[in-house]
Amino acid sequence: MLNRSTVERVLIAALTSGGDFSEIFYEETKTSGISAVNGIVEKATSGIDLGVGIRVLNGTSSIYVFSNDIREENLIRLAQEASAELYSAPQGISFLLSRRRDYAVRDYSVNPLAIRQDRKAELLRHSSNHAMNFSNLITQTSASYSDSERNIIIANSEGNYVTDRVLRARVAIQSVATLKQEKQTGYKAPGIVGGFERIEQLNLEEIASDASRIADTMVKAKPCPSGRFPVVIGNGFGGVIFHEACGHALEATSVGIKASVFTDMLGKKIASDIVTAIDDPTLDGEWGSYRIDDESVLPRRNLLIKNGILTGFLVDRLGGRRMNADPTGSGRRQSYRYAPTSRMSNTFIDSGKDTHDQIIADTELGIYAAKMGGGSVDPSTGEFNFAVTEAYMIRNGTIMEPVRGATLIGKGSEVLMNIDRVGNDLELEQGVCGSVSGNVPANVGQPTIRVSEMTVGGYEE
Amino acid sequence: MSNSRIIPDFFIDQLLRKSKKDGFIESEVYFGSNQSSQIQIHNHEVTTYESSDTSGISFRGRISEQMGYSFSESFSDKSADFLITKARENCIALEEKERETLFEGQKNYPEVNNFSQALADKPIHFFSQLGLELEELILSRDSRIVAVDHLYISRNSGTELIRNTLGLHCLSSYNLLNLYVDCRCVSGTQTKNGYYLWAGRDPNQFNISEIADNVVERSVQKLGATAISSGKYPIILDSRAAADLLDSFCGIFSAETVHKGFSLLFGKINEKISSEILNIRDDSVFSRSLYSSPFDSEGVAGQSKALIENGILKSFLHNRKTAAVDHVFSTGNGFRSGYKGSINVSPTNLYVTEGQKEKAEMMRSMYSGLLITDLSGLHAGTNSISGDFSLSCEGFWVKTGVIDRPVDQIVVSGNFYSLLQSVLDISKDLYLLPPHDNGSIGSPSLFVEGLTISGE
Repeated sequence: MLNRSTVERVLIAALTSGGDFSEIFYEETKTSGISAVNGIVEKATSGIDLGVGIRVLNGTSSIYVFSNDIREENLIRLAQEASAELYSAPQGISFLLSRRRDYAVRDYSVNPLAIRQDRKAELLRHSSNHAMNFSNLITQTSASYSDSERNIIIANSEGNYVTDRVLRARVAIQSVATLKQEKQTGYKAPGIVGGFERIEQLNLEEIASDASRIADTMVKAKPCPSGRFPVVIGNGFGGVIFHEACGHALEATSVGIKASVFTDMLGKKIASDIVTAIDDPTLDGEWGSYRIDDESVLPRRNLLIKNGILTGFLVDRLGGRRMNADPTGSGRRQSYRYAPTSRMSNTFIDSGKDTHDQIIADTELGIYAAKMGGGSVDPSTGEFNFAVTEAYMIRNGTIMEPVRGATLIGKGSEVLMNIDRVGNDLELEQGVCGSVSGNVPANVGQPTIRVSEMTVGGYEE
Repeated sequence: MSNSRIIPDFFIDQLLRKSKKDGFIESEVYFGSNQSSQIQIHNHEVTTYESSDTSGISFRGRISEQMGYSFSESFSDKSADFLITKARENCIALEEKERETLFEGQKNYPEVNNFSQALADKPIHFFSQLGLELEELILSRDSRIVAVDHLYISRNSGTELIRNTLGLHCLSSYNLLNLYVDCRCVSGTQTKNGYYLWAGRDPNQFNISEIADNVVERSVQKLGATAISSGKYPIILDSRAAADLLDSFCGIFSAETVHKGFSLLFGKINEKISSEILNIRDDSVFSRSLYSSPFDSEGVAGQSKALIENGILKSFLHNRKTAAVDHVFSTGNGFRSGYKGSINVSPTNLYVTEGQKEKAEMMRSMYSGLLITDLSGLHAGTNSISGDFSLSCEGFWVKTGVIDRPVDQIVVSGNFYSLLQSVLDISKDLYLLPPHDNGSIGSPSLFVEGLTISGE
C-alpha cells in the first residue's frame, strides 16, 4: 500500500518538467481461477497483481508510465522521467489532496477470495455433470470459475484522492455436442459483482443446461443460407450488435481523433426513430457498473441515442480535451498496465413496445439470431461482423429449423437505420470488452429487435 | 526506461528452500520481466508516450500427484507466504489424472539471437522522429488519404528465468521493435482503411518509405470496392490472410486440445489429412523468424518438427505431460503465457512451407476467382472445435488471371479441415506474422478450391 505523502510527492514529481495534470493509479488485485474439463478439475491458480501507473497530461499529449517496483524512490524517478518526455517547463501547479473519499462499500457477505478453491471446484464439477447429462449428444464440457478483489487508489493534481474495492466473480460453461463428424458448442458465462453468495444464488444447473441445449440444437442444425435477409436479433447478448456496431464508434477514443463515423453527428439522426440507447455505469450491482471510474470521475447515466437522434458520446479526460467536452465518467482500464480511456459500461438499446412474439409473427422469411457470439468493428468505416451462435430460420411468422455457422456483417450506420421493430423484453448480459485500455467487464443488452435487411454469411452449398 | 529490474535471486532461493520445508516434493520458479516503451503519433504530434518496467514470479510445486500454481508481482516475505499457501490450496483442489512433473534440464540448448544491442542502444526518440516523418510520408503519398488514425511504435525487451529444485537453470533475453499503422482514405462517399504491421530488430531496416508504400497501397486499393454475388468461387488466400487463418486454427495441432477431444485430428497420426502438396512445420529455431525459443517454459530444448508432411499428419505439439500420455518425447512446446499462466501447449514458429510459384502465376492459373487479402472478426467467426469459419473479408476479384476490381462487404465461409484438403497450389511468398510469445505463425498465399461467399 502507498501512503498519502508518497502519492503527493509522486504527483508533484510528475509535473517537474511540464504537464498540466498528473495522476497516480495504484492497484493491488488478488485473483483466483480454476477450470475443469469434462468435470475433472485440471487447472487452478491464484495470484497478486500489484503496480502503479503514473500519467501526465499536457493539453492533448499524454505520458503514461507503469511499474510494479513501488518503492517511493522508483516512483519519483518514473514520474520525473514521464514529465521530462513533455520537453516543457513547469507550470507552477500546486494542490492539496483534499478531495478524499473511499468508495468501497460492504456490498457482500462473503469475499469470493476467502472461499477455498476445492469448494469452487465442487461448483464446477456439479455444473459440468449437469451439462454433460443434458443429452447423449454432449461429448465434452469445460467449465471455469474466476474471481478478483481489486483495491485501488487514484489521486491527481486536482486534489482527488479516492480509494475503492471491487469484488467480481464469473463462471463460464461450454458444452460440445457431437453428431458424426460435426461438432458444435454452446456457451454461457454469467458474472457477478459482490460476494460469493451471489454466485451461489445463480442457477448453475439451468445455465449448464442452456449451454448444452444450444450445442445440442446447433449440432443438428443445417448450414445457414447465405444472402440478404430480415434478421430478428434476440434479447440480452444480442446487444453485442449495438456494442460493436455503434458503441465503440461513440467512444472518445475514436471520436476525439475524428476517426469515428459519428464524429460531428451530435443532434443528427443516426438511427431509426424507435431506437433509444443508453450507457449506464450507475445501475445497481450490475456487471459493468462502477462507483468511481478509473480516472476518479463520478459515473453517470449517458443517453447516447434518443428516438434515433445522437445525443451523447462516452468521454474520458484525455478524449474530453480533444473534443472540448466534459468527461462522462467513462474512463476505464483493465489494470495499472493501461492508461484509462473511454469505454462502455452497461450499454443497451432501451425497451420498445412490441412483444418478441409479434416481431416473429410479422416476419415472413428471415433469420432469428437467438444468441450472438462475439464480433469486431472498424470504427472509421463502421463495418462490423458478428458470429451467431444460435440461429433459426423464420418462415411464415414462425421460428422453424435451427441453422448453424451464420455470420452477420454490415455497416453500423446502415443497421441502426434499418431497425424496424424494438421489443419490450430488455435484458442485460455479461461480457468482457477488449480495447486499447485492456479488457473490462461490460454488459451488453437489448430487447428483441428486427433489422429489415442484413448480409448473412452462411455456408449452405 | 533506463534501468531494468534485477532478477530477485535472493527471493527465489528463499522461496525454493521454503517450499521444500513446507512439504512440496518438487517446486519451480519462473521469473519474467518486461520493459517497454511505446509512442503514438497523431496529427504531427507524439500524442502518447508509454513506458513500463514490470516483473513477476510464478511458483509451481507438487504435493503428491498434483501441481499447484500461484503468482505474484511483489517479492516480499508476505508474497512468499502467499505463493506457497495458495499453491498448496490449488494442489488440493486439483484432480488431474496425468501427473505434471518437473524437468532437470538438458545438456545443450540451441543458440538463438533474440536480442539486438543496437536496438537497445537507440533512444526511443529516434523512432518518434521516424514516426513523425512516416505520418507525413503517408499523408503526402496520395491525395485520397485523409488521415493516419493510428500509428504506434513500440520497443519491448524482456528476460525470463526458470529455476527448480531439480537443478534446472534456464535464462534468456529478447528485444523487438514493432510498428502498427493504419490510414484512412476517402473517395466519394466511400471510406476505406488499411493497416500494416512491421516488426524487426535492426533499427537500420526500419524503412519508413517502404512502410508508407505498403500501408497506402493496402488502403487506397480498396477504394471502389463493392460486393459480389453470393456463390461458390475459387479462392486465393493472400499470405497475410492465410497466416491469420492458420493462427486461429493452429490449436488443433496441440496434443492438449487433442486429448481433451477438442480437435478433430484425434487418432489421425500417419493419416492423410490434407492435400499432398501441403507441409506444415513448427520450428522453435527458425532463421527467418524474428523470435526463436531456445527452450520452452519447462526447460525442454527447442526443436524443429514436421506436423504435416506431404499431406500426412506426422506429429502433434507436446509438452511433457501430453508427451507422457502419448508415449513420445516432448516437442518443446510446453509454454506459459508469462508468469500468470500455467504450462500449456503452444506453437513456436508454425508455418506452411513455401511452394514454387509466384502469386501472380497462381492467379493466372486460377483465371477467375477471388483473392482474399483481409479477414476480420477471427476471434468470433471461427469455431476452433468444428473447424467452421464464417468471416467478413475484403479482397479483389480476379478476372482473366489478373486483379480486376476490389471487393468488400462479403463473408467467406468454410471449414478449416476441408480447406487443408482442398489446397491446389502454394506460392513462394511466405509471410510471418509479427511474433507472439514464442514465435511467429506464417503462410505463403494458398490457392484453394471453392469456398462459399455471401454477398449481394
